[in-house]
Amino acid sequence: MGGAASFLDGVQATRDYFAPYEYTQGQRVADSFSSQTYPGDVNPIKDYGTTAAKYALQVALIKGAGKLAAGPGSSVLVEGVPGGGIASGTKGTVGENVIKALPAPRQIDASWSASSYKKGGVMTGIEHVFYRHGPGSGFANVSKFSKGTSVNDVSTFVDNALRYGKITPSGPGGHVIEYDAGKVIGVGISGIPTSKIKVNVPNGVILTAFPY
Amino acid sequence: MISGGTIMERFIIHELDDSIRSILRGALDERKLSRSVLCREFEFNCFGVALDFEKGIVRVQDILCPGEDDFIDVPIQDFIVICALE
Repeated sequence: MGGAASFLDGVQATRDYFAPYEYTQGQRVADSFSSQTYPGDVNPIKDYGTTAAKYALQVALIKGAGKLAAGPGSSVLVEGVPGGGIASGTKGTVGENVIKALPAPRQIDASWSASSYKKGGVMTGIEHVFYRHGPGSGFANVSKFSKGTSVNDVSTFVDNALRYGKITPSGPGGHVIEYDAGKVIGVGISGIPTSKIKVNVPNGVILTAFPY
Repeated sequence: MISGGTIMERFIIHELDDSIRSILRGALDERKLSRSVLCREFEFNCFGVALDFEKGIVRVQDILCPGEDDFIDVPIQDFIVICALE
């Protein structure tokens, strides 16, 4: 008997909880989208757009690695129904899924630094890349990045290469990393468009990077 | 400088490809057609290659980070065989 009472109480509580949404809020929400029935100083369509933009940004940031658990504003990731929160039926734990959304660690330690080059003398690695392999480079017989490639683009290509590329040891402390960026990033020596980048890292210094 | 291995090994492994072979073959063909072609120099992504037809040698040089041991001289005929330019 006590169990039945608890069940009925629960049903009533559930009805009460959803009641405003089922019977009254629907029209209010519809009204709120009309400037005639919603005289307030806050534009709900604009607000909705802002929220949607934030949501889209979050989705873009995680690039499909997981789904937002509790809608806009949440950074908890699960593989369940979008907006479903950490409900039963979702796979794995929160910790596991958050890890999936993070980029892989770099396979080797490497950083941009200054070096002395035969062409151009002392300059940083990124300066060398644009001096010799930039879209406007005047050098012949070298690979070149596509027109419009920015420093950030090259930095991202190199970072991805260090995380996901194929690393070939090249003597003590030296590595050559090859990585397919998945889109055309420039042309090789022959002038044929390519999506691959090669990065030379002797002793932890990113010496050069170019399409190949 | 790309560490490790001889300069020639590193050139072959990390630089030499079909497009570079084509460029080098073109220089060798020029020399075949005219004895007035005395030398040809190329600077690729990481290495420079200088063909000295008078001396009969090829200098392969690490051009990224030059130092004392940044080049090697190889007889042209050996270079042709090693790089499969025939």
